[in-house]
Order: sequence, then structure tokens, then C-alpha cells
Amino acid sequence: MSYVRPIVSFLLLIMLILGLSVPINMGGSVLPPIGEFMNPFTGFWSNAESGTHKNIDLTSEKLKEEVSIVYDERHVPHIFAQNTEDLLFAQGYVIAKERLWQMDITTRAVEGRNAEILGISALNRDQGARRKGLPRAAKLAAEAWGQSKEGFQLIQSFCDGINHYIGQLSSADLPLEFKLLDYQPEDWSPYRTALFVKAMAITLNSRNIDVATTNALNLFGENRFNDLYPDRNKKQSPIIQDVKYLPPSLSFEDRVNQAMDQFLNFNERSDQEQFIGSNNFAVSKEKSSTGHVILANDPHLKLTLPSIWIEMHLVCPEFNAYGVSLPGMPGIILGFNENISWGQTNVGHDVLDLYQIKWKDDSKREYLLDSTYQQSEWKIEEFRVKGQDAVKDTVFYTHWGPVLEDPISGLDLAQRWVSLDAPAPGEIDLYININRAKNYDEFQQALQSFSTPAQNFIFGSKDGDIAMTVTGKFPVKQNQQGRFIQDGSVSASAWKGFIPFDELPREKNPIRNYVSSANQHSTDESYPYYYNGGFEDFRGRYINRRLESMDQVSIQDLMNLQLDAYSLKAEEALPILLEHIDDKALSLKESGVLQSLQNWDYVYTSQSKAASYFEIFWNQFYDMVFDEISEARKELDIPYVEAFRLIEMMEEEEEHEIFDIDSTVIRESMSDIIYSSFKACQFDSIDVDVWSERRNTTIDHLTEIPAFGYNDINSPGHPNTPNAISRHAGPSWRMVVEMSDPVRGYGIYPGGISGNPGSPYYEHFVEDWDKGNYYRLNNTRKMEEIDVKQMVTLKPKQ
Amino acid sequence: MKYWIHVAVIFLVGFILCQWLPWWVVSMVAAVSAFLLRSDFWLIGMFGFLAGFVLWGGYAMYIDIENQHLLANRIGVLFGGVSNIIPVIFTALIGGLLCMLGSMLGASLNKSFSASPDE
Repeated sequence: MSYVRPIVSFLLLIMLILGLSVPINMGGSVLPPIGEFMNPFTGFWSNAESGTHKNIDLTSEKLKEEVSIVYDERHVPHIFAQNTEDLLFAQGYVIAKERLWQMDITTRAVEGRNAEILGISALNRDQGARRKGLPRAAKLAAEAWGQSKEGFQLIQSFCDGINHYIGQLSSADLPLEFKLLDYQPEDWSPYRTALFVKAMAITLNSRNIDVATTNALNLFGENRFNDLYPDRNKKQSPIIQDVKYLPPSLSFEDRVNQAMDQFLNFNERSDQEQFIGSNNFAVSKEKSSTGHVILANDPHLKLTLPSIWIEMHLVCPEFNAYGVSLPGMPGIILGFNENISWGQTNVGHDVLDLYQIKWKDDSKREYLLDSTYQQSEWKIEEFRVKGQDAVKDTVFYTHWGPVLEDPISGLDLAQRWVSLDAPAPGEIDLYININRAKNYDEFQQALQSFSTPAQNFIFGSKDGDIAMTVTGKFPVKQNQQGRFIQDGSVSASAWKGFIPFDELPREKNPIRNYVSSANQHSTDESYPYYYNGGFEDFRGRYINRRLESMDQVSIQDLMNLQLDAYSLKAEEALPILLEHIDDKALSLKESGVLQSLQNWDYVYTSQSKAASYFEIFWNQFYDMVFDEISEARKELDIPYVEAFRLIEMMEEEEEHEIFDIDSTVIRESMSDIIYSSFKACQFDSIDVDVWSERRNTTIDHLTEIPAFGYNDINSPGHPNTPNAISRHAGPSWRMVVEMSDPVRGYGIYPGGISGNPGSPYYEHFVEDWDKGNYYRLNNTRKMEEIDVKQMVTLKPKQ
Repeated sequence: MKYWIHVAVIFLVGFILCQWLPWWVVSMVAAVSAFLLRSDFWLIGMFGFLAGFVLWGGYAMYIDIENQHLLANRIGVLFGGVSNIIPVIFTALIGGLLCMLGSMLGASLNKSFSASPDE
């Protein structure tokens, strides 16, 4: 007898199984255990969907009555429930079914727990999230929500629905990314929804350049700083116009006293610089061609797959709402019901300030405040790291907020950010209350609980009202307060409370018959509270100009305005630039470029070469004008001067010293710089792509795995045009709604319903979005009026 | 004939058990079948490979066609820019190797047991 063969066979088999059971490190990226991943029965193959879905029947003891979820031909879920709690259970179920991994990774990042699944490379970001106090702020929010009994019940139903989906997941049904990263989903809770809210706050509301502006102030001195970085554009066309404001309801001193009472109990905040913008506008029934209010909204965010939004239709006896939800929050966030429509754009106010801390000694246990030492609070954070031992880190908190070390200056800066404060308990069912609202007053009532991230809420109703409310928790500040790093050793540096809800900038049915916002300044200077921060206002000014000139406005007109790729910046800057170029001194090719620019209509069409020429020329000119800043930026973080200020100098201050190049002995004029910058573009020797190729917009998967992204975007547009598309950001949801009876809604986003890269519904709206098409949004209350492709029935367990 | 029975057992039992049990269970199915069928070491290995190759590869190919190659194309890019057929072949090879080694183990164990203790 021979044992050689069985032993050899056994060993080879074991080696094969073990070899296919361990993760493989391939050039820095780790592949999952191949055996399980390639298994056609439960591995990645089971995520390859055919596009036809079987009907599903499920039961849960958490349901009171039967709920029907109907998927239409675009795979949009329409949820029909007989009470609001069941509706939210089903919404949680649907969102988890389509987007579970997106929910997990988004909240995990805020919680500082990515290293658990991604390994040591994610540790720095995790530490950043915890040092900013984000998980702690989410806990505070969940606790605050708990005080709203009805609201908390609703969020609990939403969480139950998510957990019901997770509970019945088989290993084959696990979303692909869990398989790729080889980990399991965790149960959902209100705390995780709070983490999601914080993720939105980071994206929209944590812009901070206090260190950079402080550097610029130190470098340039006060006069030059104020000259280069004015607070406002003289040509501004603010969101709220022609409103007479009453004086603030509390005196400044009262606010200081009131604020100090609360102050020592306060929490934290964070930072990140991003350029995000959005548009919303609505015309009154007088200005509309149909006699009904028409409202439009297109929030510009980082474009990702899966999309940040998920389209859905929620129907229960209390309301019938259609629009987009966020995968982690209950209700419809942007959309319409049978009586009202609403949308949002981001408010650029600075709500994150930095305070320099003076420690007693290196132990950082005590810090100076008003000539006495206060105890700091410290927390040891533990980070589990995939493949190695856990790492510990200490986070220090002061009454200003958590303390971060500035990596360049080494200063310890405490952050005060509104999004780290406990929200109003009513925040949790705020969007449900908006979904329920039937008129302006009920809408305003719902907005009262909104705190962060601050938004310009646009409103239109079947009653014929249009309105705009700049909504959020805005600190009361002294003039210029919060533009620079502040002294954290005196309590007088603190914010002086918050602007009361009733005194927020708002307008209803203005005489001009439209409302609009595009992230520009909220008000003119007559608003009695100081605020700073904001975005370039080319889009806002152009949109207001267009709306002003339009009459008999149709749905199509507002769609066209959303898709408009006209640049006001080019309109203002290019004629001045061209005026100063002597075409006799140019080569043949350069003359061709010049002629192309002279004939350009300032529209960033995808095939435009002139748009690309202008971009190259403008950037070259800008860099040459601000050579001082480019030089300083090699060593220090210094903010860029906004384009509107440069255009203002070109128009009115041709002799401004900024046009002189520091490194030369001669004194250059604006004209010299324009000509030199045109020549420096080297149009003679470079091949210039058409605009959409130069912009090179891609929609990346959240992991940035190229195989899961989409990179064939040809839409017209530029960040300064209404159709604000940049390399990675753009209109993440385009919606136009006419408040007729019944309401007519149109919308589209660049993604799909499913978050599964193996689903035909993963990116199937992108092509239509790229072409500027819209889908009709079917908000019927009658299930039989929907083209049913799949039905999921949720029944109460007997 | 018995080699084709071996193939059929791997197809049927393997298909059913793979739905719930760990991916390597298919090699155990091949081992038990080969052990019971008392067969030639090399031949059963070849037939085992064929059965595993077709079971895993065929099922993967069916899914791929239903999915219109959507996901296999993406996984192909993820695995270094290969076409959608490569993930199918790779899947088939894993299934084939698992069943081949399982079959050989089963057949050789059978031989060892049946040869002892009298020989």
C-alpha cells in the first residue's frame, strides 16, 4: 500500500485552498481572498444583476400594516404605506437594499474607523476625524434627537428598516465592496444617521481659510490685505434684495453675556477647503407662462458613483412626496409634494473659526483663559487597524472645541464649528415635516429646527407663493471677526450667540416676481448682522440678470437656464484683455487664437476651443498679476484673490501696483502683463483640446477604483456658469417643478438608483444627464399608474 | 460510465452545496464521489477538473451573459485591464483545480484503504 498519493493530493489541495483564502497584496492594493471572491455562487458574480427582478415578500414584527414598494422602468422605488412609521421603515429598507455600502463607508469615514477595513494607510484620516471631534458631535446629535419623542420614533422606524435588510442578507447578497474589502456591515442606529449628517456638514459647511488669511494679513499688512481681499463685490446681486431690516433684537452686549453663559459648555468643529456651489430659482405665477409657480434647483456637489442622491417617491396618508433622499437620512431632502416644492443651495457664511491656545505647559492639561488656567478635557482614542495592532491617540478639548495642530506653523488651534454643537431635537424629523407641509407657514415652521449645514431654502407652492430663506445656525460676530486666527486666551473672542430664526434673511413673493440663489452673499450691507465668507458670484449675478429679462417663463426656460454655459466672468474680463493685445506682434497661429477669442460668445460648449484658449490665457494672466502671492505660496498658505477683484482692478485701477512684477527692475503696466501673459501661453507650440476634453470631467466611484467610475462626460459648462461643471463636481440633481394641479416635476442626476457596480441601474441616468435630458417624475398616488417592473411587499408578522 | 457519474455528482451536489457552504466544499464533493466510485487516479482527476471547470466557469458565464458582461468588464479592468472573458476563465480554472485535486485525493484514499490491511 502507498500513502504517497493521498498525502501529496491532500497537501496540494490544502495549499490551494489556503492560498485562495488569504488576501493578496498586488502592488500596494490588497485583493480579497480569491477563492471566496471568484466563487460564482456567493462571490462577486452574484452581484452581477440581470436587470429583471423577482417580486419579493417579506415580513417584520416592526410593521403595523402592509407596505408596497413598486419599482418602475427606471428602477425608481415608489413606496406606498398606510402610516408614516411604516413608510420610513420601508424607506430605510429600500435605501439599504440599494446603497448599504455607501452608507457604511460614508459614516465610517466620519467616525474615524476606516483603518479597520483599509489598514494603516487610512489611519491619518481617521485620526483627523476623531481630532475634529466628529464622532462625539454625532453622539451629541443623536442624544438631542432622543428628546423629540415622535421624531425619534420615526428615525427608529427608518433604522429598523435598514436593519431588517441587513438581517436577512446572505453572503451572496452582500454588496460588492464588502466582498472586495472583506468585511461585514454593522447594524444601523440614529447615531449613524447623525454621522451622515456630519458628513454633509463637512462637505458643505467646513470651509476654512483662517490660517491662510492670517498669513496674508501678516505678509501684506492691513491696507494691502483689504485691497486684495475685499469682503464683497461692488457689483453684487445678493440673494435677498429690497428688504428693510429692523435693528438686531438684542444689543451686542446682551449677546456677549448670554453667549458666555452657554459658552463654557460648548463643543467643537473642523476644516477642509472645497469649492462647492449650487443654484435654485423660482418664478411667481405672474412671471410664469402657465400661471403657476415654477421652481428649479440644482445642487453642485462632488460627482460620485454611487450618486450622493437616491430618487424616490414616498406615499402615506399624511403626504405624497417625490424627490431625492440621502442614503442615511429619512424623508425626501429635495423635491415636492402635492402642495409645495422646495430646494436648497449652500450658504457660504464662515461658521468655523480657529482660536490659538496658550497652554500652561507641554502636558496640555491646562490652558489660559482670561488670566486663569482652565482644565482641558482629553480623551484617548483607540484606532483598530487592519493587519496590525491598535494605535492610540490623545485628543484635547477646550471650551472652544477640539484642538488641532496646524501642520505648517505648529500652532495649537482650537476649532469652533457650529456643526459640532448639539442640534435642536426637532432636527431629526425636519425633512419629514417639510414633506408634510402644505403651505409657506408650515414650511417655515419645519425650518425652525434646521441648524447646519446652512442652506438657502427655496420654496414654491400651489397657492402661488415663492420664497427664499437663508436658514441655519449663524454666529453673531463683530466686524471682521472670524476672518483670521483668533486669540483663544480671552473669552471676548467668542461668538456672541446666534442670529435668531426670525431675523434670518428671507423674502416672500418679492415684487420682482422671482427668487434665486447661487451661493453669493445672502444680503446687501444693510443686513444688521456681520458675516463673512462666500463664493464667487458670477453665476448668481448672471442668473439674476437672465431671470430679470425673462417673461412668460416656461418649464423649458428654467431647464435651459440650469443648462446655460454662459460665463459672466469671460464677458467681463475678455474684452479688456483683448483690447490690450497688439495683433501685429503675433505669429500666424497666435493671430488665429486671438481671432477665435474675439469671436467667442462666452459660452463653454463642449466643442469650444475658444473656451479652452480663454482658460489658459486667464490662468496665465492671473498668475503673472499675482506673482507676489504665487511666490509666497511656496512657503505659506495664502488665499488666492477672487477673480471679481482682479476684474475690478482691470476695469477701474489700471495703474494698480499689483500689475508690476516684483522680480523685474522695470515697472510693468496692466497692458504689458496682458500681452506678456498671452505670449507666455505659447499658443504657437501647444495643441489645445476642445473644452470638454480640457475640463476632463470624471465621475469616480467612492473608492476611486477606475473600473467602477464613468469618464465620458461631454456636457457644456464651467464652475462659473449656471451649468457649473468642473473636473470632479457638477449639478448632482437637476429638478424643475411646476406647481400646477397635479404638480408636474422633472429631474435627473448623474448616477442611478443602485449602488451596485454590477447592476444595470448603477449609472444608467448618466448619459441622459450628460445630454441635458430630464425625466418626468411620476408622483401619482395611484399605484396602477406606475409601470411596475418589480414589487416588494412588506407585511407585518402575525 | 462511472467517470461521467462523477461529473454528474459534482454538477448536482456541488451546485446545491455551493449555494450555502464555503466555496471549497466543491472539492470535498469531488473527493467523496471519487472515493466511493473506486476509480483511476489520473482519469478521475481529469474528469474532476472537467466537472469543476464547467460547473464554476459555466455558471459564471451564464451570469455574465445575463448581466451583459457589465460586471465582468469592470472586474477585468480591476484585474489589470483584461477582457470580461478572463474572469470567467479564471473562475473556471479555480473550480477545475479544486475538483481535480479533490478527486485525486478521494481516489488515492480509496486505493490506500482498499489495499490494506491484507496486502
